[in-house]
Amino acid sequence: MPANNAAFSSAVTQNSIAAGPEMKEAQIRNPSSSMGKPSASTDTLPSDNQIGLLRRSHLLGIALGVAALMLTYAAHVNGRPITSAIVAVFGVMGVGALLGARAGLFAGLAASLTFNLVFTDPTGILTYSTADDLVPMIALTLSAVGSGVLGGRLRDRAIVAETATRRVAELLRFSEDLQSAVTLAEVERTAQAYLGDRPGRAWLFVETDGRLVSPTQSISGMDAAQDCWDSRLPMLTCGSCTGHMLKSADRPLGVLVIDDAAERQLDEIRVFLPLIALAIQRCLLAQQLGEADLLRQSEQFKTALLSSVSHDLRTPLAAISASASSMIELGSTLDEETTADLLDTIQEQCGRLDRFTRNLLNLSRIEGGLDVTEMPLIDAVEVLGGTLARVRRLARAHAIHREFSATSALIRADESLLEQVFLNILENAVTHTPHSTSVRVSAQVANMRLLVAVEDDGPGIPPHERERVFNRFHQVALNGRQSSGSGLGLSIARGFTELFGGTIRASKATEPLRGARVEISLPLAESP
Amino acid sequence: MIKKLLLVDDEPAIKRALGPVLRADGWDVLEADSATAALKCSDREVFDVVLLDLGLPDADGKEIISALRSKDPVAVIILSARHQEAEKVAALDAGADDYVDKPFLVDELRARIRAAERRLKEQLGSPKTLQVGELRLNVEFREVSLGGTEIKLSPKEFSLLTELMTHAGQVVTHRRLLIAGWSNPSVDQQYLRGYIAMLRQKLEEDPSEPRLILSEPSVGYRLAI
Repeated sequence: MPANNAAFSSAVTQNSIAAGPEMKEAQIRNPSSSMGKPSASTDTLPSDNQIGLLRRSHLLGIALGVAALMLTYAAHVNGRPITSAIVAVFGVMGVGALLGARAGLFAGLAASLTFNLVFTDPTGILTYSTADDLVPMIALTLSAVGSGVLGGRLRDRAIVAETATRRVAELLRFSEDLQSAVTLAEVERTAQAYLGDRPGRAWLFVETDGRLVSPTQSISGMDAAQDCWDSRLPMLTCGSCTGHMLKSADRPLGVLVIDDAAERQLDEIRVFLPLIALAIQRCLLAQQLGEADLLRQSEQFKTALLSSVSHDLRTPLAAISASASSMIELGSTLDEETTADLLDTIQEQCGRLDRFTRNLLNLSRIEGGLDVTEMPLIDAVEVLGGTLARVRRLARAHAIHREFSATSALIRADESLLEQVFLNILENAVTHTPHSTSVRVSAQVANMRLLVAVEDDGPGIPPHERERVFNRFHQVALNGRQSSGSGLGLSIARGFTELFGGTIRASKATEPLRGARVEISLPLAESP
Repeated sequence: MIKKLLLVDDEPAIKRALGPVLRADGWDVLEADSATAALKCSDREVFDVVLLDLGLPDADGKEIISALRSKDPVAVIILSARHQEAEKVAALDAGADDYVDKPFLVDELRARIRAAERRLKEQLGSPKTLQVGELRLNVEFREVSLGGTEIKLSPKEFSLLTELMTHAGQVVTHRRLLIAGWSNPSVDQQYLRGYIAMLRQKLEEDPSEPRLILSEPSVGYRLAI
């Protein structure tokens, strides 16, 4: 009886998923295309993954229904009415389990009807002549409907449980993402990403110094946020958006504005908002800690600067003061040579004070930032030569040798700052080496760079110190018993060199010298 | 006998400036520019006075004070460019006799050296009478007089004044005064201030502008000579 067969299966399919057989065929032929696109039958189902899952279970359910019907029919034809009835009941249960309670109910009714009309004599009509006819009929109907509905409810529960698990997992992932967000902007991005597979957006506004501020300087949602904030209500709808107050245990933190389209999909809002509030609180705390840390660092910096400045100002002042007061005290009793020596000391130490104050001023220039592109083209070799002449006057006890293979090198730099670089490096070499040792200064051009190296014959710099000597106040920070110099000189030299696009590093001098080598590499200017 | 002085400073300018004036004062001046060199010098020779810079290239000057003082009586005077009171106190507690802040006038340094010399001499003789200007103190009879007039002092005032006079012209730390007066360095300094004020009342012409017992803020007191 093929006609009845078709009726049975179509009853099942029409009631369960409200889709024609043609469409199902199309889905069988090309299942992947239907998985990506939400169709009319799945508009209440939120995720693509689940749509695919349901489609498969729909097809399975229909297949099971058809198979059960055929088996039932086969059993019936072969004179096994009990087997036939049991198979029918199991089939209905299976359909229910796969297609849901409603489908199970209809499958059960349809199976009972089909049984009555087709398999029991007389076929074609509903006949209940005796109680013996009626009781099995009712039993079959009840068990078919009952098992269909029960199976279906199990399946529905499973889907609800699965959906809930998925939501919890999503929330967990969201909470993990929030945990790793360290700035308010990241918190906002995380919230938007969570709402990302749903239409619409969310904007975060956090109270900062009495005002609502968007961490991403967003303007959209600002009005809604402000209205909600001013109203002090837990939530306030404003146009197509709703502002939600974000609260910590003791005070409101800010407002999360969610687009209504996004909000409709968001049924975990009661969990969603506290998670965001928590993340904001954490970010604010981290910010405060960071500020305190910065403050402490700048305090340390100030202490180091003051200690360094006081040392570097007082040492030359002490020499000047001692020399001058010696001359006042002893006056004419001093011989000519001693007097000249004392006067010399005064002059020399005044120059040292001057260089130190210049370094201090230049330090603030580095901090302020300078634009190298606005600097003129200068000849660095000429500047180096001039600096050398100055250093020779200051360091008469040292033999300074020059080995220039380059005669000129045009670079873009500030002349006085570049002189400061060379002066600091040379002064460093002179002050850290014993008298009557030699210092070698070389300059060469290679690969469009000017290389200036200053080598000495002093104790050298231990390898682990070679990078640290360029740190500001390195000497002070090292052991608090620095000998001379503030540790500013090399740090300033590095600051300026890098400003001119160059590099500066320390290494070991080449033979025959055995001390330190400081090498400055500066890029030559492109020829115009 | 020729007086010997060791000048420990790594700053050539300081050595150049101090050398002439110290030699003119009759000192045989030796120079050392590191802690190691200073210790080597003190091994070879006996010095009366050591002028010690705290910021030496190879060690903190504080660390060698006790080594310098270990053998012969020597006065150690700190030259410090780092005016941190805690550091001065630490150096004085480590055994230094006095300190001079950089920059200083040569006159001031010479006065400190003279005070140190005087203290060294008294230490050797351990006299029964101490005299500073018009102020005279008899240790045995516990008598104090100022310009011939006897001054009545309480036992604590007497102990404090004895300590100050023993180190006349030199700084005496709060700690040392507390030990002298109370035998306990952790006593509240407020008591010390109180007793110093009473001493000033009895000894100073104008206690509000003391000229005899001078304060060295955060460090201690100095009896002017």
